[in-house]
Amino acid sequence: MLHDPATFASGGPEPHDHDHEHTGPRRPAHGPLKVGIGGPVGSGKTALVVALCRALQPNHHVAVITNDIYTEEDAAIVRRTGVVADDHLLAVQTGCCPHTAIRDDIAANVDAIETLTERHPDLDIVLVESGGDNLTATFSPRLVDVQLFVIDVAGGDKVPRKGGPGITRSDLLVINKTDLAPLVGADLGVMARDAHAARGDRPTVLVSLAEDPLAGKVAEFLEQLL
Amino acid sequence: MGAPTGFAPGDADGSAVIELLLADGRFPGGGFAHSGGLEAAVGAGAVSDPASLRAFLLGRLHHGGVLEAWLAANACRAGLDPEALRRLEEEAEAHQPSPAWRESVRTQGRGLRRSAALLWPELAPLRCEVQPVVLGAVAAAAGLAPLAAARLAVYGLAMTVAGAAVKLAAFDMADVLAEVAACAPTIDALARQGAGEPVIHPRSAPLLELRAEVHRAWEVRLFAS
Repeated sequence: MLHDPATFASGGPEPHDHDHEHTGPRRPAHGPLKVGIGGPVGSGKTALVVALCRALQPNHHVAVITNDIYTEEDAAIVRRTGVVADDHLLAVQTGCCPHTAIRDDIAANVDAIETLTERHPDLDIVLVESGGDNLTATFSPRLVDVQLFVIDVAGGDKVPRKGGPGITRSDLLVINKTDLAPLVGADLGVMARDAHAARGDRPTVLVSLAEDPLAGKVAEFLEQLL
Repeated sequence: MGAPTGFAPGDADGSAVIELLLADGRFPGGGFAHSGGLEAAVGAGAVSDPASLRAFLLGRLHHGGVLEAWLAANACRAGLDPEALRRLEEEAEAHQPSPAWRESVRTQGRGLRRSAALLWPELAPLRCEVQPVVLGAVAAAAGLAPLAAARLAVYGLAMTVAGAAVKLAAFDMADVLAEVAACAPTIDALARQGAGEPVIHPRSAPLLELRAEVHRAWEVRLFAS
């Protein structure tokens, strides 16, 4: 018999009552905090994953899933840095459709999360890195509890104004490579102002992973959810 | 008020629509990350134009179609009985010599079961993983007939190949679907054959199975299988 849509839990895999306010992302009652990291190719998603592993690892049990478009390149980069043990890292194939794998059909990623949580029942956090994409990628709320969207200064200071679901709906917008602003003629003030206009109350951070290899502001944002 | 004219008896309960929903590539079961062996065939130079795509499609359907149809139809008849489904999974494993493909059908089956269990909660306790077996169980939960389950299985196999084709070579989707349409009588016949056979006989395609193993070792690939 078909499930009655009226009782269909749409907010995520954890059914819960609704006498509380949903003020923002939160860790589920059971299992790790699942963090989606999306953004265009080359914006620094993999570098952010490495930075967050370094920052969070000392106090939390961290695992990583990469969604590569056609190779295991990103997984290989993370593996080479040695920030997580091999058995804490899984690569998912996305059949040329990086945003299908995180939004429309999350089967392979859910499978990977299940594998990791079965292997390591005490995981605190799983970082799910999306395949490099454009500005439209968002994660299914069944896949992740919180989503970060990473853009970079070198991609042009117009990007926040262009908007798109990644810019407007992510829980945290990360504007990376601020150190390159003078070299590419980007105005960080304009980027911050446009981001605020596009996102309202949702937070934005400007970072330079080259200068802050522990991604302090992003790690801090996640720490308060753990 | 009677059923609208033009609807076959039995369609008024929505089951025909549910069948379309399960056939729709947007139903999330993880299939989009698989090519049904096409990526390996393209890599080997065996598929490059509409004629070679149709040849591959026909070969693939004749290789896997009857087994998948048989598994789906019988899983549908099993009425969510875990023991019967387990025996069907053992049968499925015995028929598939390629470990890469055994893993591939299990991955896709888990994905389908997880999504379908959100629509039909009675599927949640099931532990089956082999995709056509899961598909049959889903069909049973959805109130579909064994033949519908079989047709969904064979059609799904064709569309896995079709969906991958446009990403792997210079094909237009409409041209690819024209090839699937040309295979429609075959898809239907294989579904009927699989749904009707009391015992399934082994069918092997050594080249497909060997290529599946080689494909898994490729360093650069778009698809999981």
